[in-house]
Amino acid sequence: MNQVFAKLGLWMWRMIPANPILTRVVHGASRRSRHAWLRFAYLAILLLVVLFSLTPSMGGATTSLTDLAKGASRTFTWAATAQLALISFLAPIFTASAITQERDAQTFNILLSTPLTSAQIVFGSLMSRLYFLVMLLVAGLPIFFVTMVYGGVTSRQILESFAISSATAVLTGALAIFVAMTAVGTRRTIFSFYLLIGFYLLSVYLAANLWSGTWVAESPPNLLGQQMSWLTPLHPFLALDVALNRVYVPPANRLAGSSGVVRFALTHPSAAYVIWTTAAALILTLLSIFYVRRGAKTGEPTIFTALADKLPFAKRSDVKTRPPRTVWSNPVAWREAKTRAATSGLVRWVTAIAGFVILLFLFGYHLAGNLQATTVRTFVAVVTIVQFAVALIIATNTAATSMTKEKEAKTMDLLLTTPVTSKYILWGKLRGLVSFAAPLLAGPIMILLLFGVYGMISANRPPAIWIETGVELAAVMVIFTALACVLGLKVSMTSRKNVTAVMYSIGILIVACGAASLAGFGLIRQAGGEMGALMAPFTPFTAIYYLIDPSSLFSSTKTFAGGAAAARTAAFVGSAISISLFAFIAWRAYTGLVRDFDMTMRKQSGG
Amino acid sequence: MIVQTINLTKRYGKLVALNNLHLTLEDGECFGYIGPNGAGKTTTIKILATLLQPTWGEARICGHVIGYESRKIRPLIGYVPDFFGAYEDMVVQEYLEFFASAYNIVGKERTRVVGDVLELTDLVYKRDALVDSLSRGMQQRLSLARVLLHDPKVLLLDEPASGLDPRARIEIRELLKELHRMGKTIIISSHILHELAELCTTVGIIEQGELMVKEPIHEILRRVKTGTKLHVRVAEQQDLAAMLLERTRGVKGVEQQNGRLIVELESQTHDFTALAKLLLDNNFRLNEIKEEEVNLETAFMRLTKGMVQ
Repeated sequence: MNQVFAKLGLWMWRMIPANPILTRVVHGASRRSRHAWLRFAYLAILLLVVLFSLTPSMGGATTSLTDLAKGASRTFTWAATAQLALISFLAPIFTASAITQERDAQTFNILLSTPLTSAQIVFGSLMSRLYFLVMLLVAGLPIFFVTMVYGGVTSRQILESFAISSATAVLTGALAIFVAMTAVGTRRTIFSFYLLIGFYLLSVYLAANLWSGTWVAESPPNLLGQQMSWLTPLHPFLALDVALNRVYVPPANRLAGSSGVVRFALTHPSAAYVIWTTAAALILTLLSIFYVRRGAKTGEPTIFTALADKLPFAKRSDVKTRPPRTVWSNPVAWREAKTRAATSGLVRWVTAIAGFVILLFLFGYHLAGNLQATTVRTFVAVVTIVQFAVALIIATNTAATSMTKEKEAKTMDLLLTTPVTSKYILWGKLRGLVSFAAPLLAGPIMILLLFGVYGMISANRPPAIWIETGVELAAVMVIFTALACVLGLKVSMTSRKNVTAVMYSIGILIVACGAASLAGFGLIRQAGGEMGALMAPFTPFTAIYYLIDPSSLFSSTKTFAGGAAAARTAAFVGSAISISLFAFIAWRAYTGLVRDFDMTMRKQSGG
Repeated sequence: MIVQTINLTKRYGKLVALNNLHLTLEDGECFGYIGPNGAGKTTTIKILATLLQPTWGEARICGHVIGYESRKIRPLIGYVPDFFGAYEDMVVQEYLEFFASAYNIVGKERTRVVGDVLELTDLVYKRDALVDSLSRGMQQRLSLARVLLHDPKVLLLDEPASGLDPRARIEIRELLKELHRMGKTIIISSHILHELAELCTTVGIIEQGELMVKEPIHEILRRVKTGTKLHVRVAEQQDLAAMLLERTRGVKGVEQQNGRLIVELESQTHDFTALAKLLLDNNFRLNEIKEEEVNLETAFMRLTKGMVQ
């Protein structure tokens, strides 16, 4: 019996603490300044959130203990949300590199030929990815305990919030490892991985908040009249809302008709979320262990590659030939726009077509008189914002990999020895990127123009969408897309790896757009009137929202002195200034790229 | 003089990759560049390919100075790196058309040129094949096809035969011989020395960033040949034969190695028929007697110290 325990102990010891894959990462990570800086940034953001939310409750000398408790509770709510948001953002980034890392380093087969067991390889890979995230969570713990000092926050709430964040990280890691073990990962796999996670988080959250059809009738409404959705146990932010008492669970006795599992999930959504994500992570890990020594990684066909071959748009794994296409006179632009080396064409076309169809449907519905102008504006604005956000991400991702993919494939050196100049290469890249992103922007612009033309010829006043809106937004969206492309190109030029380039450029895009939009919406609402309309085109999402729906500025405290005509004029002037300003910035950034190209590329070529 | 470097030096921080390299190549010369790993071969080729800027010194191709007139140089050179830069999702014809466009070859001219190089490199039947699905040998042939598109004067080949199977190596060698016959100036770095000996007119040996020697192959072989060594094999009584030879005039020493005798002769002794006659006269059955061959590998081993940076 003792021997069995000893063997089990040794097995466990080799599985995690003494796992060579994990120990390599842990030793390496402690020496990497990038990790230290990221940890520092993570803690800095959490601290800023805490200070920002604590300040109002510390204001006067007459602050009561109740005020302090309320302040601490508010601080905890902010900090927990920020923590989950950061973990949800960082988890795919830290775990996704597993998808290509072994392939890039060509170390996987060496690993398989060692006496390491499949479980050791999988656990080692998973734990090494999660190590950094766990370190972040642990580093943030003291900040949360500070909120307990003033009361208003229970240890159970802290535990729940950490459990939700940890479970999210574990599931993301297990999913990345599963993809890494069952497929030969490429940068497209990584991008699809990000997009899938982002799409799931956003769509389920929006559905649960905006679609009352998903709400559980038995749950009591909160102050805003919102009820808990049955999607809550499936989503980390929704589960956190319950843990933070922002949404209320239905009483168990009112769910007597439901099965035990459903009743438990609806009455304990945080626990249900943690349980199912942990179980899913376990299943994925077991499947990874099963697939680690067979399948795509070792060159064998798998059930997944067979399924992928059956997809209509997928590139068949056994096809090695196809008729050649005509190469453009600018080969760099052709490659950027036409080859599958660009971001997955499927994602681009699905997004473009879906956005176009939804907007066309809205137009038809409006034409039939079934939708009021105000509702049309809100829906068109939301769909256009979502479509444009995806377009920006796809364009930035494609731009970010445009140079690094050449560096990784070692084709950049070949291009640099041809007579093409840096200006030609960058112009070709930009032209190709614009051609690539054009279908994503074309749909919303066409429909907005259609709405505008209909508004001009119909007798309805004011029209759902003004004629100039399509033109203004077309220019604004093209300029912001060009800026995103220049950002991606800049990061791509200085990075050596696709993963790094995508991570940084998408991160910068999200932070910049998020911060600008949050500040923009706040400032514009506060300013209202002509000033609001003038300011709106200066950030991408406020531009879309307020140029499509300027009526929302009427409802603010300040109204238009000159009525709709003044608002339209202000919006037009604002658009013209914004377009000129951002076009100038994009041009300066582009010329800077051209200037630095040779130096940067040749420096990297030598390294 | 088609290629010239004067005091060419490249430093990476404290590491001196190239140290005052003086190299001149005449039009139509095929120059084999050899040296241990990390000796500076790739750095030299990358500078000549306009990919790297020298730290100091100067390099010229067809009289144009690298770094100042790189745009004029690029149409004159064809660079094959030590790896194959495979574009994803491109077939062979697209790959060549892509680079033809980069060299400003457009329209019908492009179609004609691509067809010609496909034929020259025997890749016509692979026209529709995805480049990343080609074998290493085919990829290397495609690399050569790529650099022939614009008919360059100088070919810079960095280990073009590394990782190839014997058949592919022979095919590449034959193709390079053909290009040499066509009058191209070729700089080729390789570790497969006997192949360089067959292909090159001159050879340069570099070690620790310094060019040790640059001469025609026969001159290098002559230089490293310090004395004559004979390989002698007798049917039986090898020990007795060794004793006999040791006592003979003109013999410096005898060594037994793997069933044969290595006989080192005095420097003034060139004729070894007398030794053969001596053995036969003493009733030894002589199976073999031949002069030890001095080849490029021997030269390389003698001229380099095996030191890397």
